[in-house]
Amino acid sequence: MSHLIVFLAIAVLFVIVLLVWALRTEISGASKGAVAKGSNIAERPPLRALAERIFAARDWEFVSAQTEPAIQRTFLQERRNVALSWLRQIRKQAAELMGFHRRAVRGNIELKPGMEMRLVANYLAFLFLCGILHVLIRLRGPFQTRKMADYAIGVSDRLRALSGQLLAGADPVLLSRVNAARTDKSS
Amino acid sequence: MLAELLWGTGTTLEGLLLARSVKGRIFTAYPIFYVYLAYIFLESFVGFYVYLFQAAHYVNFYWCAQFLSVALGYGVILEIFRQALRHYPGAARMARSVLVIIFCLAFSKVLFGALSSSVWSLARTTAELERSLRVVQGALLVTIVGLLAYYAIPVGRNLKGMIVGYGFFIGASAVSLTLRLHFGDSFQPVWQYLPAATYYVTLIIWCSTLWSYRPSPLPKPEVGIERDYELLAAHTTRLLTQVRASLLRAVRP
Repeated sequence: MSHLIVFLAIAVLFVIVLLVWALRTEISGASKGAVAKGSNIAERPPLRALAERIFAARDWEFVSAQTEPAIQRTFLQERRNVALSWLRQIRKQAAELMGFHRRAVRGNIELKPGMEMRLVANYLAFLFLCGILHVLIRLRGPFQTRKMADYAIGVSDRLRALSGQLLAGADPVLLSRVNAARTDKSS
Repeated sequence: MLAELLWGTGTTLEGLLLARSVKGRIFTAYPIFYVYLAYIFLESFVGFYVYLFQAAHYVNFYWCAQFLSVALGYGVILEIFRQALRHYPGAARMARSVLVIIFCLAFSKVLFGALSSSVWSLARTTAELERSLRVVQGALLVTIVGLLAYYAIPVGRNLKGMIVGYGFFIGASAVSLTLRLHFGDSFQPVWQYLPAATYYVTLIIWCSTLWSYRPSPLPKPEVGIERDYELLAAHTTRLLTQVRASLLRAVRP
């Protein structure tokens, strides 16, 4: 009987997935939105200054030495919120990068499925780490989770490097155009 | 009486869909799908004739016809794949690899299940086989839909209707076959009407979405946008790597 229920649940879920997909897919303006979103990534300012302040131990050293416990708690709470916001931003950037990559390669016949699957696996690993970091920051605060933040960024860098290889291998003509554009900009 | 009513309405809807496809020249756009529909249309008439005048052979006819219908259903999946990804060779290449893996895994499981089955009867074995083949179709369809969503590929009204209609049909068939196999003859009163009723819903979905030709939107034909987009992607990747490197320097002590 339980086998029957599981089978029926899967069948119902299957139909629901199809219906949700059909209702959510918007034909008009999809690619325009994608292009606009993608172009925003390139123009965003770096998060370096923000990251430096969030994880800097000297702020906490000062607050813990000079202030009362109530203020320390408030400080930790606020810093935790900022750290979580920073993490969300990193995750959003990775998601946009992936979306960007998918749209860029979907029409390219040179796409390598094995490479794509590795990229997806890396991205999922990155999301998993972001999830762990989110929990750790929420539970222990940003100062205790610094090592984990380093590791998460390391994985994210691997993801980016792989994506870069994919795009570079996608179209040699395009690559030469990119290089030409960069040279023009720098000169 | 209800069976005749469902048969009559279903066949009328099929006839309407086929007539519209000829009138609106949709037939040429989705040939495999309409071959499938034409087969179902003809099978309905032959089946009704056998039911009325050769009742003793109806069970054999029914399961053989069902098996052929399932086989042609794979043509519908192929049509969906072909139509959805024909302008996206990269995504199509990815889809081919994933679908081959899914098909091999699912089909070998089905084959193993069929070979290891101890009890044999035409109705039961064919029903089990049909259900398993429907499950494989469902797996293939959900994979295609997943890839369409993953690569953000826009799909037109015709194709969307084809996917949702056929998906609903697969899901409903698998459910009714499972119930039939589980409850046996006690399910027969419902079994008489359930497949026809669910197929009726499928036909309504198809009629509402395939009434006129609504193809999937083409990717922008002008080379500029496509290449600029890719150029932007490569550029952004490089910029993001730089941003991330500076971020790394900031976060690491």
